[in-house]
Amino acid sequence: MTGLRSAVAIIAKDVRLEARRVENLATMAIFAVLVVVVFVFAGDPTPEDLSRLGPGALWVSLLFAGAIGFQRWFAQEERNGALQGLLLTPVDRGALFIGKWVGATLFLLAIEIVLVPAASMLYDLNLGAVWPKLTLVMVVVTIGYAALGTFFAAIAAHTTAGQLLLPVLLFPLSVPILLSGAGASQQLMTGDGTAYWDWVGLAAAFDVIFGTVCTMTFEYVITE
Amino acid sequence: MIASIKKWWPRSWRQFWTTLDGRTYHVLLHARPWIGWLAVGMMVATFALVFWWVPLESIQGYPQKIFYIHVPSAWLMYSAFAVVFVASVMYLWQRTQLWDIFARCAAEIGFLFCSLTLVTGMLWGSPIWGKPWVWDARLTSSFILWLIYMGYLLFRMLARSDIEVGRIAAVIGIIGFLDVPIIHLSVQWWRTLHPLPVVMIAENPGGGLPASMLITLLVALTSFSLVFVYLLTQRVWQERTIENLGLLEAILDRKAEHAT
Repeated sequence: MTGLRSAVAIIAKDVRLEARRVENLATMAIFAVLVVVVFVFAGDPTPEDLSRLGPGALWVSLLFAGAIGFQRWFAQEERNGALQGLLLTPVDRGALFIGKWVGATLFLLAIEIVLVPAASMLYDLNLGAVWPKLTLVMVVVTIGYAALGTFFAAIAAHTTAGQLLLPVLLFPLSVPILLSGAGASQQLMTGDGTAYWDWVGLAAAFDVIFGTVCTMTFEYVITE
Repeated sequence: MIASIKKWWPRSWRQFWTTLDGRTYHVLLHARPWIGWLAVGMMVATFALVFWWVPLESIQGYPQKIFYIHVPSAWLMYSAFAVVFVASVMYLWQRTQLWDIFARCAAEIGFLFCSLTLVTGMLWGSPIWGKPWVWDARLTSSFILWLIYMGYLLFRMLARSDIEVGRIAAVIGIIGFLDVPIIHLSVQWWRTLHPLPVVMIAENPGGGLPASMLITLLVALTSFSLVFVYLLTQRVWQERTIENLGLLEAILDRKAEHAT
């Protein structure tokens, strides 16, 4: 399994890089929390509105944080020709993608560890009993979003607009995963929870389909 | 009969998949003017049927007539995006310019029909729903499709010149099309979980259509399909001409260099 080994090596490298510049991830987490805060100002909500809007604000803020993050995590490969170096190594492109994908998932999850408690406090969400289920849906959705995000960050890097084009390509395609996340957490917080597993199932199907397709087609996106 | 089938049967499948055998492609491009005139004729017939023949719908009245433009545009939007998908897969497999051109042209036309669907839908919605836009499941998913293919076309416009645009665009075309059913499903669930605050006065007519309306719809569908095929072949022909002119220019440049 050389493919697996090289994927792990890429993940380890990315995690080490981020760990040495923790301030980057911290800044992104603060940005994500700020989006949640700004959301409150947009509507002057009553306490009931707050718990209804909470899950949505959480997901929108994650969507924005991701759009900034994917670009960064991919662009760091382009500095000093690091990407050329990676491409010259006899590593399968699929393994390369999986490495970057898992890395992006881990970083987004790290941001969520700060974001979710902050949002639950600010929006007065009662997470007491539902947190295992909320964690599950967060993880499943983050995996799918990171797959598309990493993939389209590589694509947007090929354009003159770069950072501008990534959200334009990424957000419409991510609608199903955003709706699953928002739908499932809405079910947990205010609904009766009957449709929770439907939404998680949809997100998981999204993960499998786009994880596979992106891994298979990454070679077409990356070769110079 | 058999002789003519034999004559048109591809001599080699490899050639067929790479260039549509040259001949199929040739026939398609040369049938262009006829397809165009046929489309014009059918379009006139469609409008005649819509305005003078088909009876007025009793509840909605005149706004219902936009249905005969709206529904064919929606169907052709999906057909065009399916062509983008197939051509993208073929391009990644065969890597011949032809498929790339087909994908690009079909995406443009699909985007056009998608816009037409949205605009006619809003025109219909204004009198029927009382407002042009409601977050109905089908409206929402069409709008998301519109955004996806706008992204596809924007990528084509903004791509750096030192990369092979077709290859990456093909991947976007494939992923975008695979996302269509998932978007539909998710948006439908989203809407059923949050019922609309407004009461829909009339549902989209469908299913139990009277024969006259069905005939008009089918005629409209045929003429729109002809318009689609005409636009597609015209655009493909245009792109081929641009490419050939570029080639010619390069040859002439080379010759001029030799002469001096």
